Amino acid sequence: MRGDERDRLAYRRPPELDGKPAGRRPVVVVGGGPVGLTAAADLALHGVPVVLLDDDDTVSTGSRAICWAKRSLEIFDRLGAGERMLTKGVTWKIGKVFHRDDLVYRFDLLPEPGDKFPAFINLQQFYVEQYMIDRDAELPGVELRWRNKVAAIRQDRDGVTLEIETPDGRYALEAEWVIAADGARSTIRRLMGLAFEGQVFEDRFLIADVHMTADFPVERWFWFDPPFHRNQSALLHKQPDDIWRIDLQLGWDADPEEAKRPEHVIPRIKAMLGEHIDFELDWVSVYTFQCRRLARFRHDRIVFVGDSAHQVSPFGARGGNSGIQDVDNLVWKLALVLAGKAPPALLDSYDAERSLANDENIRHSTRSTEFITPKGPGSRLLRDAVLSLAATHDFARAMVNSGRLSVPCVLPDSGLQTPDDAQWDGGIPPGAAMRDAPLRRTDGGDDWLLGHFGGDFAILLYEPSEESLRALRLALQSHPIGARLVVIGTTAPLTDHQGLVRARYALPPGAGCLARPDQHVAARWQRVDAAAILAALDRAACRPAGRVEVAA
Amino acid sequence: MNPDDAYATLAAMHRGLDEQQSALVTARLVLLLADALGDADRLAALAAEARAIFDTPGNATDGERRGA
Ligand SMILES: Cc1cc2nc3c(=O)[nH]c(=O)nc-3n(C[C@H](O)[C@H](O)[C@H](O)COP(=O)(O)OP(=O)(O)OC[C@H]3O[C@@H](n4cnc5c(N)ncnc54)[C@H](O)[C@@H]3O)c2cc1C
Repeated sequence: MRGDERDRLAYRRPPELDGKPAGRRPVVVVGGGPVGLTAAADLALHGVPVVLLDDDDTVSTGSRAICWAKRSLEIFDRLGAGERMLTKGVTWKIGKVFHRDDLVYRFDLLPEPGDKFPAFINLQQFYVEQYMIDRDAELPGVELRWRNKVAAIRQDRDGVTLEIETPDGRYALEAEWVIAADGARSTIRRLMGLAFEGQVFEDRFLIADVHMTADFPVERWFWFDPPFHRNQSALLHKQPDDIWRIDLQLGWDADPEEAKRPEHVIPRIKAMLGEHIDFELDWVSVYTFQCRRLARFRHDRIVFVGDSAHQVSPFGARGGNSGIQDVDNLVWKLALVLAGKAPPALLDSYDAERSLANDENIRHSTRSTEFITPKGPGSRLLRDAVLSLAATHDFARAMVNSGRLSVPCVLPDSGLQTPDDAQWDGGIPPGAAMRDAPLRRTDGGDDWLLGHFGGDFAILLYEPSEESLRALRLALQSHPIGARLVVIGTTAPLTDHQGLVRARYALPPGAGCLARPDQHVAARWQRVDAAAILAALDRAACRPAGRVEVAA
Repeated sequence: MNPDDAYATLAAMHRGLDEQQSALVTARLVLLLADALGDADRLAALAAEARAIFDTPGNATDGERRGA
């Protein structure tokens, strides 16, 4: 199956065209790529009804994202689609980098077991989109509107009005909030006149997906200056359905239209794979890459997520993965604001937190691209010198950069996290994403730590005393947001039978941490205390401490 | 370190090499020296100093422009 062979997604005449305005919607998502579709599921699971508009009626075509990181899979799992992706995807964790004929560098992204999800899977972007469409269809309150193109947008203090074009004509839709997930060429960004600034890399890459039954190992292989493609780089990576991703660097002078022709592509791939291998071209495109971002991701009631907010070169697989994390960061905040349980200022922390994360992505992707595409003769010389030393010198091996693969960002002090009040020997600090760990249930079944977190605030308590549990329950009862208590220890009901929760979180008995709905640690204590927990909870929701109701 | 010895060592490094080979050997040496130095701030200062002859006001580096 290929993206362009997928069924058309059903367009339905919007009721507004027949004079049935449904009033102001809490949230409208613009864009049905992986990021918008994920936002719709997350909103629905928070009980927020959502309309998603997309100008097209197919899932993504052609060769786009394939590498999905552990953190994204954990988010997809929270939303109920992670296991399906894991089952279909190709799991990998080993990468190899070659210079000419020599292996110069090998990495293992998840050297230690004890997580439900692997470091990475490879799965075509259209599968991710299709699985999210299927998941959205199961959830109450999600309305997906295909062939609904946003043509105009304006906002005032109370809401946003969208003008939408459909095959049956134009209509207006009102929303309290708009999530702009309309991709790198964002219409909304353009309509609002917002600059999208950064850097374009003067190079071209041929990205081909080929079908073949080959027994190359399931590893990421990257070459600098290989014998089959001199002076350029190349990449080979497996996808499901016997599809292999091949990237071939072409240089800036290559003619993209010519380079795409099968009579030019096939000899290049034969040179790479060997004459004897049978393959079929599934998809070929030529890309130029860029790293750019919006200065601000929130513009009052319009919030940008995914490629519309920031774009990176694909070395490091940070594009789609960071968009999924944008959604994870934004949606719970929006849900609290809509419920009147947190002030709209909470949404500014989305900008602060995801700005830092995306600057980190841009920095890494820029550096990788500069290593792969040196900017001048001097930097090319330096790059070649690094490669020539890499086989024998550790420091040079560490400089070899074929993409620093996506890892979750440790969030900055955006005002939501509570700084540590004690010395910790390791563990997961405030701002960091929780690390998964295996658990055992009372019935003897295997379980995972992260399955008990996410979606709402929850407190991980490691072997708490009965007394502190009682005090906590009482204190949380009257809090408008509240938090679930997840008790873990060396005995039932949830047993840390391998001791990995304790080791990974550095938690002594009586200790605990507050997890945000996006599975990031907001605060931790070596001795849990009800007053401190309530203060951290208010802080994490941007609530003035002690106040019970907040006007939205 | 005797300055004449140091110079002779570096000159010897280039003996018998053409321009391209010399350039690569110099780049390798720079990397080895950077590793031996082990100090990112000093490395940045030395790199700026090396470049300084080309940094006339009309030809500012990114770093200077950012600082301005
Ligand atoms: C060659 C390549 C390889 C990549 N590899 C990876 C990888 O391995 N891992 C990774 O994480 N990322 C990768 N990426 C990046 C990834 O593809 C993007 O980051 C991702 O598609 C962004 O998703 P999105 O939902 O934000 O935007 P998009 O996928 O671009 O979706 C935007 C949607 O909005 C719709 N839309 C646009 N305008 C309007 C409008 N006016 N009205 C209504 N709808 C509209 C579009 O039709 C589209 O469906 C790669 C990209 C490329 C090009």
